[in-house]
Amino acid sequence: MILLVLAAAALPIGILLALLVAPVEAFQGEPYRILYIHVPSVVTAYLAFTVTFVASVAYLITRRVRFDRLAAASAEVGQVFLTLVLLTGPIWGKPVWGAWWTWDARLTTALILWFIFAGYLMLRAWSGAQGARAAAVVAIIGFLDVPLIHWSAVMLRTLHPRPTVFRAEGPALPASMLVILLFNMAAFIVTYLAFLTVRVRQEAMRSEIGEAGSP
Amino acid sequence: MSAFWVILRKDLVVEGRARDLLPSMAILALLLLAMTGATGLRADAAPAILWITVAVAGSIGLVRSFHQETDQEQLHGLRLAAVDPAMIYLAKAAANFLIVAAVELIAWGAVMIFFDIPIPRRPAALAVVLLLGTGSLVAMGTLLGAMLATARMREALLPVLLLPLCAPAVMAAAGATARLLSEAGGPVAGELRLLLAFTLLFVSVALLVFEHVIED
Repeated sequence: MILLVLAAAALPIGILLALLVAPVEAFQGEPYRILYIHVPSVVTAYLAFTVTFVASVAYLITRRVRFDRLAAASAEVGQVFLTLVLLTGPIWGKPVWGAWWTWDARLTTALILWFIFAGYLMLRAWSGAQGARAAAVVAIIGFLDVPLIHWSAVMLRTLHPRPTVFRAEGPALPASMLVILLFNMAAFIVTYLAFLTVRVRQEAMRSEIGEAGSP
Repeated sequence: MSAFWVILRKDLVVEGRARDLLPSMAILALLLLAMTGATGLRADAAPAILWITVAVAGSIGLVRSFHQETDQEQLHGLRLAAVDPAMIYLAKAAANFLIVAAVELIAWGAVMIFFDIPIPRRPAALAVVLLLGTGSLVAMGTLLGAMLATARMREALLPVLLLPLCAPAVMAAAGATARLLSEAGGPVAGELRLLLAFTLLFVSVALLVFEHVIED
């Protein structure tokens, strides 16, 4: 509950900060502001899938249903954020690079990851009792796949802007932008946690009702 | 070890008698290649379309490899006979590999003809790429086939899961194939390394999780 309130408060503040307070960028102009949504979404999506991966491993080892629920809920919410990434990316790219899409390493990896989790969610929807275990395996393989997909895409080509935030030497953004970016990241992560909690609780209730109903 | 040969032989004999899987896969592969050529695909895109075709046509066979075992609970029989699950997986994977490899050879012949590809100058490297690429697809696809044996929409789900999960292998294989067939040529060591890493990694993962996946 408290998470939802926090999220509901933080998100609009973050967006207002991004639109009104953040300074204009020298080369890209106004369109760069979408960075404040795009980057936090990426971070949140990858965080969510990491949670799915860890929960899937835990589920296969312990067979405790709570891990399965966590994995499924996190994958759902993560997929929403990843979809947001894939939508905001091209919107940013068209005015700035002149193209909606390119097949460089980061975009390719994000897109294929989207398909991996789409498949995961389809599998959960359509499989029988084995479903939880099969889904866990898909999540594990999918997660381990990410660096490999990136590797193969790098071997083919690269165009995405060089990292300016996540670099070994530290962020290259000016402080004023960085602060707003970090605020938005926190806001997105809180939102993710809020949705995650709701979803997990929903699934727990659903199985309780299911058990109560059976003879 | 003998369980491996028994299961492998059984799967091949079943296909030999039914003779339905291999022809369907081969016709689909040829059709995809023919249509891409007919709709104007240029020769330099042929390696990519070859690998996509093999993955999609291969999916048909991979779906079947475990579904036929649920029909009369043959899989239970195998488990009751205390067969090592790893052996079941390896035998199934081997059978699938032979069938998919056959389809791939046919597809390869079609690609050379439809797109007028000259005789490759480095056949050994090309053979390794074909082997590892097919091996990766089959290793993953066999595991997926087991996981999806009781799922609804398994025919659609298998390629939907197989292609993204095997994306590194398909991308590396297509890239390497393209380079080996091009005028300029060039080193494919990087792609081969990735293919090898991928195949080893996912066969290991498959062997680890396979028995969890088929119990119920």
